[in-house]
Amino acid sequence: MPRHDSGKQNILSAALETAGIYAVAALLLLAGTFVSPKFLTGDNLLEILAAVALLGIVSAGMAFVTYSGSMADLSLPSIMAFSGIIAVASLPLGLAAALALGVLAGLAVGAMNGFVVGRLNANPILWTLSVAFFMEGFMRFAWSNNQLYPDSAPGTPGAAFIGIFRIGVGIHPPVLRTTPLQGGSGTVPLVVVVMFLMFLLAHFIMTRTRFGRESQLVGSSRATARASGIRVPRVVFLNFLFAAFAASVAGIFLTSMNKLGVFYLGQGYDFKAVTAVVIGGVMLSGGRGRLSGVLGGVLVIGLLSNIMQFLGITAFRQNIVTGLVFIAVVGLQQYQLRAKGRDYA
Amino acid sequence: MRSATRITRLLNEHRALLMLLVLFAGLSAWAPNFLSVHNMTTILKGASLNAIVAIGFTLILILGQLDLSIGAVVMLCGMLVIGLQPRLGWYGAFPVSLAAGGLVGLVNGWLVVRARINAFIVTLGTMTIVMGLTHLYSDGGSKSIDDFRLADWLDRPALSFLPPIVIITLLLVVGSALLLQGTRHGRNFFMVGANPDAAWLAGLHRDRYLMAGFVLCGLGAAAGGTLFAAGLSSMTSSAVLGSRTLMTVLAAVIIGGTLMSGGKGSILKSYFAVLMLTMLFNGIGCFGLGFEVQIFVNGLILAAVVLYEAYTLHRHELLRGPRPELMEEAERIQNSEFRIQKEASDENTGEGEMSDKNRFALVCVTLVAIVAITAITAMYFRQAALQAQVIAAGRAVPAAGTAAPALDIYALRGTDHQPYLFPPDGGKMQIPARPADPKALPETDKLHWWDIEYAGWKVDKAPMPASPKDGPKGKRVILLKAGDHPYWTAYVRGFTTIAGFYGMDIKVFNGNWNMDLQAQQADQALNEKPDMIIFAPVDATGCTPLLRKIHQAGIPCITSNTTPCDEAMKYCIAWTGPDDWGQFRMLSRAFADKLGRQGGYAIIRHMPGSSPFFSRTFAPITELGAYAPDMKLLAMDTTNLEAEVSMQLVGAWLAKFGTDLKGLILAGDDFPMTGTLEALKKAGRTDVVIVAAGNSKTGMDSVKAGDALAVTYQSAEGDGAIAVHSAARWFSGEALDPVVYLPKHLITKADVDEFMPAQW
Repeated sequence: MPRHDSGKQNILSAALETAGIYAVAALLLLAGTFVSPKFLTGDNLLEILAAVALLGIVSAGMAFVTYSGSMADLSLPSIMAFSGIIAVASLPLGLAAALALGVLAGLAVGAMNGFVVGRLNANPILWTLSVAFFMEGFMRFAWSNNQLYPDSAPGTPGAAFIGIFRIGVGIHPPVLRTTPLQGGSGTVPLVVVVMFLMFLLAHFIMTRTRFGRESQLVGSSRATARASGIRVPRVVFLNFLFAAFAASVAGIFLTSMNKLGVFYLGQGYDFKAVTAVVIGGVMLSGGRGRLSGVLGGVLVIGLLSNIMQFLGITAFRQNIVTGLVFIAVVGLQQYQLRAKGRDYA
Repeated sequence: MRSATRITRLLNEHRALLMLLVLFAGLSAWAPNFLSVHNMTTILKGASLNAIVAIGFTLILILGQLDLSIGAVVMLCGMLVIGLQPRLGWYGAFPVSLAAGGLVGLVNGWLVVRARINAFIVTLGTMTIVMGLTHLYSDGGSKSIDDFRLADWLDRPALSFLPPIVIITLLLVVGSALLLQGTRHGRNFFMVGANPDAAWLAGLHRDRYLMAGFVLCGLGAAAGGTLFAAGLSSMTSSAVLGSRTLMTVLAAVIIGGTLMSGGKGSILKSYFAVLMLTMLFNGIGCFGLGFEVQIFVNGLILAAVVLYEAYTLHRHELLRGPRPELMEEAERIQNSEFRIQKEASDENTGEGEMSDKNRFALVCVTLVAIVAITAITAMYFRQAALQAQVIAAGRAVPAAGTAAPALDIYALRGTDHQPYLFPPDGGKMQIPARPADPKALPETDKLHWWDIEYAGWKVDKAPMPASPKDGPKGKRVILLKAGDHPYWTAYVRGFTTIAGFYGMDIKVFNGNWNMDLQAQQADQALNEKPDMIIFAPVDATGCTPLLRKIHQAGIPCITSNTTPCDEAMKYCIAWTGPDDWGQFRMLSRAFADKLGRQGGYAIIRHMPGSSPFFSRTFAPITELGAYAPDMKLLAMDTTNLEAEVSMQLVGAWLAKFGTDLKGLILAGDDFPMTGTLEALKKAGRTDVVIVAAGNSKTGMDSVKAGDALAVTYQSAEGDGAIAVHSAARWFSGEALDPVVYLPKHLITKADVDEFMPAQW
């Protein structure tokens, strides 16, 4: 069924599409207040944000890959581990150089993915899976399965590197000072700030730039995009590059938090990020979705797991609940789309 | 030049078989101990789980769908069949488990067909759910049965060198391949997958085929899981088995030539590809190379196949259309653009034959390049492995040299300047009497855990092979280690040093935490007929049939690290490793003393499926129940030993319990410690007492900084050393205790410096 909506109408309907996930989030917030009086406090809300910050950063990158029709980048966990290891290994060169090299290492893998998927048209899932395989093998071999510790003596770049995750930014969001949310300690972890910045940047790129629009068309229909003169390989390349960039940033934070670099850091972030992206309303078939929705998806995941921890639900049962909520939310979205006659998936 | 294209196409069509043959030829020529009937049986047996799962997975890809839940279904159905067998018998347990797998498939199918949700999403969701159900059903532990008749029957060669498990696999593969290719309904699957609309127009009930596909895929995974569990008489709950099965099967099916877009695929070729990957793992193991090489080569092969697939698709798309010659013209122009004008200078490429030739040449060059890259990498790894061995040997020699000829093994010191080994003290353990039915007691009763805590002490051993009594020198020992972890790197370091001291010849297989892989490696180790196998099991109960097999082959075996269950202890000379229960009882007493024997505490548990999952949880609970009855357990849960998850969990606990939470017991002093300290810092709490299982750098740093009260001293190097040392003692004719513990010690701020630098 052809779409005729454009302009205002389009913005409105798009906003409605992401409203759903925020409704779920609001529902969870409400449920949380019944679970424990300590739930709706500044400290706990900040805790939830900090808990999903890394997932949020990775998801913002993954969203680009999904949005542009490449479904998922399964090599993101290995990119996270790799950039972390490289950063720790190059700490003797100074903190700035180490961070730059870490991100560059991640970007290199992303560039390879982008080239192969964009230019050579390889199946993205399978290609990134094979990259995950040989990157794991490579990292295990090159560092003989060992952990890489930064030098943690005070004053060294290593200590500064470990501190990255632990920096609190002293901004005082007014919401933390208002009443039911008392008790906010006033400092927001850097990683949370970076997550929001990453979402802002990603949102800006996706909605306000030519590249973002091109990504949408590539995600909707590669053939149409090519026929209308878009350089598809370039667009796909940049999408994978952005995903790798986000994953490297998250990887460096993760490594800094763990105080060591090792090949298995970041495991599981591939499927977790896809979950957040899809729950946030980005279609796996590409070309549809918004980053505000992805942020909502990330928040829902954080709220859900926090509430379950408050309830004392064990990890095994949490898995089951998360899976059920995931399928239910996506099923509802699908149902809504179909009701509007927009079921192209 | 049409024939050249045809040959390329033919080669590509049968690439799985071709790779299998080339690999077979190559390994037969070069790999030591590869070419033997036993080893072929090992490979065929090892492939059976993945091969059966691949049947259904091929079908689902032919339909153009995806099923990520197969790994979880393998786990669930394996667990169910073992859990139900004592009550229902095999005839009851098999149908129920298969039905469970079919039910998961039915749910998947319903959600995809009726709710119209993308299969990737649906099965990603069900994967999490089914995995959770598996853990819930098994309580995070393994399940096993004492009845080995079926396992023995499945394993014993029936038809010349083929055991029934291989025959069943072959029957399933050939049968389903015939059904798929030879019947109308079977062929309809291809049509539905290739073009659903056309299939619908042709009068096929599309949804029914999709539904059938998902159910059959679930059934296939269930069949694989149940047979695997039956073959081991036990099932592990470690999620690695599931995820590795999914990844390997996915890779194999694609290598076998099935398209992800649907409409093309072959069960037989998937089987060849599974065999190829199994053979590759086996062959790399023959060279004594680690898992890193296996996963690397696996990745390269998959990458090459994916690239080639993309290349053919590109060809195909270019040549599609009503005017092939025009399209070829367009393709040529595009090509010249693609190749940065390289071909633009070449004026004579107008002929179709020429471009065919180019194409063929390109394919050849690509193939050669891939082979060359693989070969170079392999050589590089081989070289590096050799160098590593030299380094390891070199490290051992000066240690031995400095200690003069009358060298004393107890004077050798590890990287933390602690002795690797202590002389056996001859002290006897106090073992309480075993209650009639330990499981009937509550979990908080110490004796509930008798079978795990005192495994091996009171067991009646099967008749053991006699010691040659000619000393350890020149003996060939194979180490089957559980997996890769920095702890295990240190373990192997201690192992190699002591083996080098005694002049033993060692070879290491890495099970990568995967029960399926370790079962194959046990067979492989048997084929090499070593003088001794040192076995660090992936799973405490799953290792029983493997140990029985080793015992039946008459090879002496010492188990190490993970404490096997009582049944498994029957078949090994001794077990060496840390006294996890004893250490944690000591640790919890120190913990209680510090807290004045009151207040609430919580426990971060180890990974489900591991033996510390229980020991490091219930040793403190039972000990504190008796020693400090006023202390209250507020919460316990696993964080899969991840720092981030630990941070979130402890954060939530702190918010929930506030100052009621006085202490934390951690199953690991590395990632859980980092996460816990982070959460405490954020909450501004400095009063919480922390104890943990040690002794990594992170843990000892925290003890030194005063953040943690104590960690246990569990020397990884000592763990490896004591295993090989016990082997040496056995070779010299000494009698071993059935259980040989590492020394028990708590590292506190007072003596932490003596244990620095950390081993890992």
